[in-house]
Amino acid sequence: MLAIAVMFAVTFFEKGAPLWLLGTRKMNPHAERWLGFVPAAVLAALLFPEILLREAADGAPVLFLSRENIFLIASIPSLAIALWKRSFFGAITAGIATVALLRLLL
Amino acid sequence: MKSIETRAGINSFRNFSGGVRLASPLLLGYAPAGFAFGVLAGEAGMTAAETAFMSFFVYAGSAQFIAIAQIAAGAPVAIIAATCGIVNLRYMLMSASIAKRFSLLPFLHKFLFAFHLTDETFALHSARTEGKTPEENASPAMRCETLGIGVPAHLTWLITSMLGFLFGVLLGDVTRYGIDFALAGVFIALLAPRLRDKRQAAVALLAGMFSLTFSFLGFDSWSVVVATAAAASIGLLLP
Repeated sequence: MLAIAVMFAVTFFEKGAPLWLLGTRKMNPHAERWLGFVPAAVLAALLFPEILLREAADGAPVLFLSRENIFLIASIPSLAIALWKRSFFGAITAGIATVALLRLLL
Repeated sequence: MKSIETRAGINSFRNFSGGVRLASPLLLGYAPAGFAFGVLAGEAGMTAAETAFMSFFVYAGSAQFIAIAQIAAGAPVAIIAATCGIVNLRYMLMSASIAKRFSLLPFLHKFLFAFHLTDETFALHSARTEGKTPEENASPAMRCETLGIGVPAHLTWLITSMLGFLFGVLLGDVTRYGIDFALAGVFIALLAPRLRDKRQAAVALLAGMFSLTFSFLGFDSWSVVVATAAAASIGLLLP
């Protein structure tokens, strides 16, 4: 329980502190531009390992470029619909449907 | 007077449900992940109360999975806290990048926003507040929508964690219908509009490549934060 309480304190500080510390302050324009790149960067940094890596037998991450990488294949229709149809739900549904279909067939 | 109040109530409800609608793919993705967490927490010897407290208060998927492994292995609290801090450092970047847009939220709403913040809700909030002023983002309509995203996502995580803890063994693998792709799908759907801007696209590509590289180099939990910071910094140098 102590571990959980400490984890909560640490996590809540990280999630919340910038809201109060940065919100109303005038920011350096470079810092502001830098923060403007954060959403795209953090999304890609989370996404790439999710669809391009798998764990080898020894637990180390290895590149997973193969027809068997269902997530990678499903990303293609998902991205296509997100880019051209600009549909948030459409993109996600297409990806899920592709994964379900491929699991059914393979 | 009464009818105005009723109408305001109806509008708040409508805005709140608008948020729930936006959050629905997240809920689909959180359910199997929360369930899996509950199962593993049970196997690691955590009690029902500990599992619920962790999902409700810590509310950070990857950090929770790492922590139950550490707790099961009898790691000291200082190590657990430090690891959690590193894994969740990315939230600080996210929170900082969105702080200005939510600067006019009242204290309670800022508190709840921080409490409900995850990778996926951040991605949603960052997209829906884009181009709006802090005043607009603090409007009653936007506040209700913000809660409409945060509350059901948080509850889904808590409830499915408990379901996994209680019934995990009975249900087996819940990911077979493809819903485990939902969170990757959310990332793709919210990243795509940013790719129209060449600089943003370049930064995203760099961050993705860095993230892979740092994973190979054994950066583990650091890789997302380091990759994000490095790519955003290079973004400043782009013409």
